[in-house]
Amino acid sequence: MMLNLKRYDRQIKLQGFGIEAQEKLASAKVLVIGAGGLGCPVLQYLTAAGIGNIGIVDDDRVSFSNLHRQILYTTNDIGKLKTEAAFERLGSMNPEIQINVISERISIKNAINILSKYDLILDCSDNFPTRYLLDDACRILKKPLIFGAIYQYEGQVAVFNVEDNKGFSTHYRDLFPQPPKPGEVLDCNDAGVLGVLPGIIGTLQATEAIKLITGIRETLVNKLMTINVLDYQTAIFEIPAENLADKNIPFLITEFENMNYEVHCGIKQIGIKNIPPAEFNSISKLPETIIIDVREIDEYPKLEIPYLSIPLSQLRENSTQIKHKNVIVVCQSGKRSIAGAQVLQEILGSDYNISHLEGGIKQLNKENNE
Amino acid sequence: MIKIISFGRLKEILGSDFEFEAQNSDELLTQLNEKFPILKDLKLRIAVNQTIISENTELKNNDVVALMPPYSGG
Repeated sequence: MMLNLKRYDRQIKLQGFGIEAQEKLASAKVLVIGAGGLGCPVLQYLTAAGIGNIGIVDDDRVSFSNLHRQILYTTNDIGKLKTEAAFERLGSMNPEIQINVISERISIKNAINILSKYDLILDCSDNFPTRYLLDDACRILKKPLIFGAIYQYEGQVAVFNVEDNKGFSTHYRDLFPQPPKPGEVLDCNDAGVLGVLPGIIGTLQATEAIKLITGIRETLVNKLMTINVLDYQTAIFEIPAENLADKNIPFLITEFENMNYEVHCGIKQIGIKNIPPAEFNSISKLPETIIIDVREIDEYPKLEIPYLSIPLSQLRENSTQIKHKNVIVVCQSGKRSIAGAQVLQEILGSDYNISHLEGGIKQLNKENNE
Repeated sequence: MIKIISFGRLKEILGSDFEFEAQNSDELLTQLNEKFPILKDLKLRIAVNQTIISENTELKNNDVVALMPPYSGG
């Protein structure tokens, strides 16, 4: 398709940009993993800037608690697939580009096939299993990866798998070689997030994508940028290459396809039963059963059935309060509960049946409302 | 004196930026681990003057040490 010079006039005019850079954007194929807080600004700016081919991967639906930061969506979109709501909105923003939606969760089964069709991948996901999965897949397929992540008022941005002028490239695993334990790092569901923060970090990811595609300026290759929006403390750190060869990580597609990233990130644990939200009500009514909420005392929503509240940080010293044989640990999103279940399994031993609520109270309420 | 800045949850544990005395990064971490035992359980990276380090690194007066955890949110 002929470039619409009027639409892109104000950036084509830029010194150092021109029609040449605009043509590079038009022929670029960019894949955005996650159409949430980071994904929304990324998709809006990449669409507006005229990226020729954009892929969107997400299996989630729009919910009320998304709307304060996921500004692609309106109140009328609640319940719709994010990919479908995004497709409609972005299509009207710029009908001159191609948008492909994949309404699936990225996994070891579909990642290689999906990623192979694109030149550049943006990690806008919201969990460690997906972040490590993408880092490994991009390293194996040699695809540039623009990473963004947020925590409350702070964000991180980096560009991985791109060689600097010395021919040297780094990966997320050079920064954090192994995932943290479940519950160690809280996500937006658990810790909250200021709505504008993903807007800022996502916009930086989109900026890096445009710079990388057009080559107008060097990007955050082998660098980690951090920003705190409370005091505007900003820093850029150099990332060194670690010796990944001796780490227990996949290097071949076949090795990648045999990974279990939930186990790798400790989300699934041997010996601890995962209770799906649909079965929670019936299992919690079995005799000799107690529910332990390991969230902090001031976290909402509260459960509507009897439970014992022991925050994760105090679980070890308070575990003697537990007398029931069947223990179900719950939290907001199912990460601290698995950490809590592990602590209890270690202290209480095999005489107890320790389980946790998969996806947490958030998922439980979501399914109950459907 | 070395200036310590921390990020994310580490800021909640260590408090705001502060000054500290240590000869090298290993010694610094040992002392911080003693003062804040919960640190031992957390994954973190250390940067000295904006370069992330992989090995024990000598610290000089006025060096800035940053302690960073991974973030997962999106």
